[in-house]
Amino acid sequence: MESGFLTEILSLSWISGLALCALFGVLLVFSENRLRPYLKWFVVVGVFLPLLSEILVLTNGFQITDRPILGWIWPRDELGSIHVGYGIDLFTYGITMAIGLAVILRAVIYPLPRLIAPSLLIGVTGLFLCWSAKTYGLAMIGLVLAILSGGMAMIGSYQDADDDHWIAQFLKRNVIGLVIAFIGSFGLLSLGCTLDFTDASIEAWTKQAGEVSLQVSISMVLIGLFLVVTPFTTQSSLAKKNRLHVVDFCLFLAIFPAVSALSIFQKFHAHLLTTGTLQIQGVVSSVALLFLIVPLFFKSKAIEVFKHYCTLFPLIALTALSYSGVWPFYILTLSFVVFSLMSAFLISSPKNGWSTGLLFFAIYGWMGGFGFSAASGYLQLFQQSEEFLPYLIPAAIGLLLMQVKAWKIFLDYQKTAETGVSPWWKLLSLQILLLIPLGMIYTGTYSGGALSAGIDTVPALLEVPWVKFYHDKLPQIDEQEFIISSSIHWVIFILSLLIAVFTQPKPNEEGEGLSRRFPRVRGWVDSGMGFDRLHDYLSSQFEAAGFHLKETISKNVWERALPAVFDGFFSAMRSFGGRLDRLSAALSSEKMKVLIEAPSKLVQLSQNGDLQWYIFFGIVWALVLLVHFIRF
Amino acid sequence: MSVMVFFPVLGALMQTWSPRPAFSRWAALIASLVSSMSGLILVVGIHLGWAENPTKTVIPWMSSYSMNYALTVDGMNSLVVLLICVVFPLIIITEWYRSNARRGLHATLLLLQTSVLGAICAQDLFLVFFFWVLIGLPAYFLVGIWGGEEREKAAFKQIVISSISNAFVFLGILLIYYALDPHTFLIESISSAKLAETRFSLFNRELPVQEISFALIAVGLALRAPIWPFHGWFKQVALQVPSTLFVALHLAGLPIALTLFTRLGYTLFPNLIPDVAMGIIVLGVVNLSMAVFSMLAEKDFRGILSYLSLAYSGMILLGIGTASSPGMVGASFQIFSIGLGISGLGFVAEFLHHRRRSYDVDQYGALIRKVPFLGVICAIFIASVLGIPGLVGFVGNSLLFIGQFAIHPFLVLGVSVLFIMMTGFLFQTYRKLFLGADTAGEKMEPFTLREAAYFFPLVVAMILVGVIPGPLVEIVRPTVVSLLQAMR
Repeated sequence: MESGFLTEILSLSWISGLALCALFGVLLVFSENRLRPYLKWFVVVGVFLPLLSEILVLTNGFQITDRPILGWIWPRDELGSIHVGYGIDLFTYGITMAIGLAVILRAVIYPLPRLIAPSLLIGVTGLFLCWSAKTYGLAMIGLVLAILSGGMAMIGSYQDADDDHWIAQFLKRNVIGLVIAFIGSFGLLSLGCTLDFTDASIEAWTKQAGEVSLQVSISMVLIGLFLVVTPFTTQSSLAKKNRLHVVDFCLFLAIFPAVSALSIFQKFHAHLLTTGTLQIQGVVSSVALLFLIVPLFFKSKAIEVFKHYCTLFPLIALTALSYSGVWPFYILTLSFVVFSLMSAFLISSPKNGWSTGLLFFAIYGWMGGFGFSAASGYLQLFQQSEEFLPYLIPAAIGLLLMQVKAWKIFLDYQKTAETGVSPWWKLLSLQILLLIPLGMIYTGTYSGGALSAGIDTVPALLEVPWVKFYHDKLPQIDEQEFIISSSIHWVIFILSLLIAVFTQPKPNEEGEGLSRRFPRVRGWVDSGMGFDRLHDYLSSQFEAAGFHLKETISKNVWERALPAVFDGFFSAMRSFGGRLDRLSAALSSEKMKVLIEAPSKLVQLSQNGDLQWYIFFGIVWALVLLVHFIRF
Repeated sequence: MSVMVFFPVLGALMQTWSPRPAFSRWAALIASLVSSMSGLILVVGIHLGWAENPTKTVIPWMSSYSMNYALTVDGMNSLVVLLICVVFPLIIITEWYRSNARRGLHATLLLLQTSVLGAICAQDLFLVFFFWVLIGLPAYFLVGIWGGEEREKAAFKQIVISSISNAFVFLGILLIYYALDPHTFLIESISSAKLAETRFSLFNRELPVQEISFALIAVGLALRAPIWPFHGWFKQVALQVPSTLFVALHLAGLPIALTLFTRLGYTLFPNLIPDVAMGIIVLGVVNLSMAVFSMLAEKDFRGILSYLSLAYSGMILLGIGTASSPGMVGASFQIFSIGLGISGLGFVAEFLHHRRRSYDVDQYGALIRKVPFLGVICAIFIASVLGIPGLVGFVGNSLLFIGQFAIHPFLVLGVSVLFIMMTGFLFQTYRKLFLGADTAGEKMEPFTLREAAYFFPLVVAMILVGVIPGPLVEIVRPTVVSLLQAMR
């Protein structure tokens, strides 16, 4: 009883912590200047509150109960009901803990320019809500908050007209994505498919499998979320100036929206498996990944490459989810988030021995080095992809190219970064971040699953509840598959390092590379590979169509055609009246003249008003006459 | 209910007592607020069980002609009542410092508040007609006196259309009245089954009362709503009046006309609805398409608002045409949410016009640096119009699409394309106003307390109803369900 009560309190403390975090964010939006000396503390306390709830859950031995799912807009059990409900599992735990710590570090280490503090709080609330949501409704609220935080952060950094390209592209892409995803989800709801991330919901989906409406609705949800995950269709913005600090760029424009949207993909994974739409998702994400890798080679500065990288990693995670399942997806997402944030902190800091070493480990871990959990993620990706052999080869080439560029970030930093001293506490805190994706926590092995059949398993670790949780989810690889997948992984890993080292530009070529050799391709890449032009072209065509329609309807019909018809009618009447007038004048009989002149004059007289009066009188008279003739 | 409907008239009469501006303003605001508070208490009371759903007042008025003073607040009109109660006092606050014929303006606005509340609550067809006609008068004066250079032309068009609309509605009502024996105007006493059987003779041809009266009333309401193809006058009126007065005119048009259409359509002509449902939906799509395509080329803020009103009349028709409970509740919420959205954006336009004397969106830029709060508030209004979760527009949009998807899934795809185009356009407009280059380069006065006072309630209402829509849904849904059950 007591334990149940405690669990109840703990699960409520999570949502209360998030509510307070959001409340702090809203408070700071309106009182940022007044509270400027305390901004840092608002962020630290705000983010720490939900984390504290998680720590309490941890100390309570992970006895977590899901909150009951409730109807939000419509009664819970009725068709079309949008539900809300949440619960923390260990997938939520790892991601939120990592991002929460990184956000606290961000607030403590760097100054907080305009709107960054409230954006951090609102973004964290959004992402945490998304990952703990047990229903699509709540996850989408979280996603909205995550996107809102990105928009706010960029608006805060806005200084002149050049800045608005990024803001406009980011908001337009994400909001259009949201709208499409929502409309698709309404379709699913109308088909009777509940949008809860539960087994019962999967059954409802399975019943509808094969229905065209279901496929269309799912496609809309996927397309909408895909637009949020990646700037695939608005790549030109990647070539534009962005004033956000590199850590903020990574958080607001990549991690908050994309990782939030990825959580929805993950939670719908079983649903998508039953409806056979997972492969389409995989093909789309692989193609988009290849498209986004190309521009990477036309960027020379480490920060530019890094920013581009931030928009790529969610796509790799999505590809892993499509082909290999939830575990590799999760572990790669977690690794990417931690290592990209670490790299962001480091490449924006002065160079010294510690920072260079830490950056090396960040890249090493990111690329799936021995001892880090990403290694296991990559191995799973290649192992599971056997059945998707046609996609495996381009995926392997893509990964090779990306890893080459990742090593170049490190090499470029080593060469070009200014030497300086970083405070010890900053470096120490980054080392704590480095511990989060350690292979031991997720695989119970020293190597992070990089060795066959768990020969390096640490039995004592498997008794720790959370290690056991992750370890139990880890799919097993047989000996032969392991040899193939680990060969591919390590060949890519080592080859990429060698290529990066041996293809370093000469001093006089630095910062140029492919851009210098292929300026037209660079221009094409910078303009978003034609997507933006297509978008601009379509927009201008729609605007022109709207203009013509408006002109046609308003000018031609209302202002020209209709008055012309009535003018014609009244001209004819006038002419008729004139003829009658002339006829009456021509008639010699005075009596006849009076007889004809009177109606003629009446017609003339009636023309002295505005056009509409005639319509009005005409209609009213017609109605009066009709009333007269009505018989019941 | 009577206090809610008629208290603004008292405020209008009080305008004659003293020429002092302060007296005029406060008398108008207090009268409007008393009415609004009565409405709010009534709607909250229905939710809390203090009042019944529906709450009725029926008093014989002219018994010999079976005319009654019958008012009701139920699920069908409670959201419109709420909308009017929230927005009308704010319109008076926005017009606080207007010097041109101030007392007349206040009296006209208060009279408009009475007439729209009366029209929406009336349960007797003659009383509906009485208030419906009354709406036309203050609306005419608002355009004719406080409009722009071509105000007389616009006001003339408006009154002509109103008169034609009145004639259609009246004839439709008369047909119903005479078709029943004993004659009655009281809506709850009218038997739709009997109405369906009755026919009348015109030029020796037997015609069905139900179909003809439905068509007459529908055309009459469509003229004023406005619905395509009768919308041309509305744009002209919009371009002549200050945007705050446009808000009042919008509230007197679309919400009233479409709510009356739903109430009368589903109560008096339930067996016709399935036959005309597809027509209503097609009309909805045409409205939405025309509005979205026309909107893309619009630069005047008030023009954009008028097309937004037309576009959402299309969306609402889509909901009404589904004849399903989510669709109809969604339509009801959409009337409420677009009312709040247009009010908010109208007030934003007036805020800007007050400082730069222009409604042209191209004349603005980089406002986010000068008035950041306005940027936040305007983003909330646009997000609500677009149906972003956590705001009231989401409730309406989601229910509308859910209702629509179940019946015409592929139509929803077409509507989605139009909706996405509208989303893109509204973002473009926001970008022109708040980002980009500042074309004028002037400084802009910051928010005043009065300006914050008229934006704040709108933002609160949008968020509150968006986050906790349950209580209002549970007021609207039982009425809708009972109407649908009666229809089936």
